[in-house]
Amino acid sequence: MTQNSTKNSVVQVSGRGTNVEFIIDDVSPFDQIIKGLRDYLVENRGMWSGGAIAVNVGNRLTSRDQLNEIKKIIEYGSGLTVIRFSCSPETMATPPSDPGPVRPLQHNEVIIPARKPTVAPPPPVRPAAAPAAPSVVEASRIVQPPKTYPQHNEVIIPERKPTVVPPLPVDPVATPAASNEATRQTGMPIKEAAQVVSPTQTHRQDNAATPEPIRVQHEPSDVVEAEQPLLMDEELGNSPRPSYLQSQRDTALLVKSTCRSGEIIRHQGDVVVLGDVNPGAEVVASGDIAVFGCLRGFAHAGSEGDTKATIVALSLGSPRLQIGPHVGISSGNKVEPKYTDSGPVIAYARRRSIHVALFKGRFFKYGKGELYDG
Amino acid sequence: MTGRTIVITSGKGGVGKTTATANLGTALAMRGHKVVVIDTDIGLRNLDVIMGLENRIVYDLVNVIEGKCKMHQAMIRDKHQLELFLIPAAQTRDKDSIGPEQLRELCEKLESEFDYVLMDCPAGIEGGFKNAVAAAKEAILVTTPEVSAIRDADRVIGLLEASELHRPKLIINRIDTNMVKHGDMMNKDDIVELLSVEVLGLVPADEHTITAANRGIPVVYDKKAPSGSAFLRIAARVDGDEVPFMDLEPRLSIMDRVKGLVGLNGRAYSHA
Repeated sequence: MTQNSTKNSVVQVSGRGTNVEFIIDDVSPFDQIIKGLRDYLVENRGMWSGGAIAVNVGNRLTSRDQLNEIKKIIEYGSGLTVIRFSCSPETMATPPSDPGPVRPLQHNEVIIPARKPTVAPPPPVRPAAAPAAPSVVEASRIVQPPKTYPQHNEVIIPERKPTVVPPLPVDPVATPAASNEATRQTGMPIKEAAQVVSPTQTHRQDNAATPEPIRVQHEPSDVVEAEQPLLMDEELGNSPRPSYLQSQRDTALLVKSTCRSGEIIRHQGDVVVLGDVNPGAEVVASGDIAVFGCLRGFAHAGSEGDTKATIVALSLGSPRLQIGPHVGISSGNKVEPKYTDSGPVIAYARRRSIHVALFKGRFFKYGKGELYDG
Repeated sequence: MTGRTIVITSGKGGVGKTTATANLGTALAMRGHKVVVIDTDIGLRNLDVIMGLENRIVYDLVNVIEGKCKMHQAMIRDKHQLELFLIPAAQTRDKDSIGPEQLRELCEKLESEFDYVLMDCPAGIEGGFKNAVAAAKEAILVTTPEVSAIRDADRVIGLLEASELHRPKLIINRIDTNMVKHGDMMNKDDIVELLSVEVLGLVPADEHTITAANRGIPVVYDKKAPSGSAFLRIAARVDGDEVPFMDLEPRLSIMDRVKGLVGLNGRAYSHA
């Protein structure tokens, strides 16, 4: 048996793309497997550029230590990450006490504390290690639990003790089919809940029966059909709704303090801020947003695709607004924010752009307005 | 005796936290209080240099917290003020050497002995900041009239409120009257409008601050320095005195003096 044939018989690679599997020969002695595996990896070192693979050990009933060793060799020799070991189904039928066909104890086998070989960290960044006999020290890096990083840029909103208007009972008749996200937004509960708090919401409700120039363009179907690749369109069409928006409660959130830089307020329903929204803060609401102060941060109304949502602020100095999928950004050549001294303004979506007009009350027909330019 | 534990923080680096801590501590001690200042900027200690006590350090904050020395062994008495003490930071360790709980315990011990416990907070909002904020009962925020410093201050106010330190007070440092007059620098009202916090004091840009820091003598000892008198006034306000706030008129007179100083070399203050 030549070196070459040994190598080929020991390891076979199947699959492609993201679904690569190493099939380890289950007849040869384990030390031969190790040797063949190393030779194979040395020979094909250029083939691997990282990624995750599965290892099939066939009918061999390998011990945890042996699996760890295989994993270690593969990860050292190739930079790949072993995410899963598998074996033939009939192997599982045999009792665990039954030794595999070949289970010789290895002289270079390292003692690894018991841990699950099925969970692997992302491939560690380290220079290509020579596939020589591993030292015992190296064994310590095999498996580490994946770290979870805290999202320290999100201030938890409940700390602010917001006043939430109690939700009205959801009327299933009034809520259209959930398949169209934009249509879903116009369901009655949102408006009724918001009516208690937000003047803009009542404005919208009154207009719901008689469409006005402001939202003539934005029948819900427009959102889906928008040919321009607007920022949110893809998200709306393809991905499932984010979990934070999956709340069944349609309520208004009353934030009684200034939203500082780094704070994110996400809410399904309307958001009313009694204070400023400072630069670097974000307010994301599936309904309307009303700011009783200066809006200088990012505001996204109708985050689930409702293009009829509006943003009202006593003073508007925000570099970026978003209503449904439509984004309004400043053109970049401004010196001073335009709408800071003009009195309350309302921003709405019209012809796939954000327009701004002076807020004239809930019954006013906002036909024109000017294109939002920060 | 129950003292007040105040953290002096900013978010952004280089706005004058350490200078403000040294000067406030000295000014409060000059008013007859027992004061201890703690440098929590472990690994990047500076407060001892500003106070001119760097060659007296034997033990530091980490030694105290690790129990390697007694609290009083690490406290360095100031050269001039007998009732002013400094607990320096360790230079050879990092911010993770201490935890919030330990610092809080230390501060509670100090509160029983001192009128004021001032903590110089490191820049940033990571571990060192969290340690200092967890131990403090009040907060003073230092900022400069720059957009970046104010943005960071805004973020820090949010974080302070999240850790139950409500109503932090603001010191606006390094105000350049010339630039404010020409509209090149944000004025006090702009800053207050944005941050919506109570202003504790305004400190004009002043070269005395730098020379004083280099000499290791806090600028409050310098009778001629406008920044020194500003810090004395701030200390009085911290102490609860109703010092007439720098209205436009007195502010202008101070500013005129600053303008004279700055105008001599004909350029705006540009130290980072």
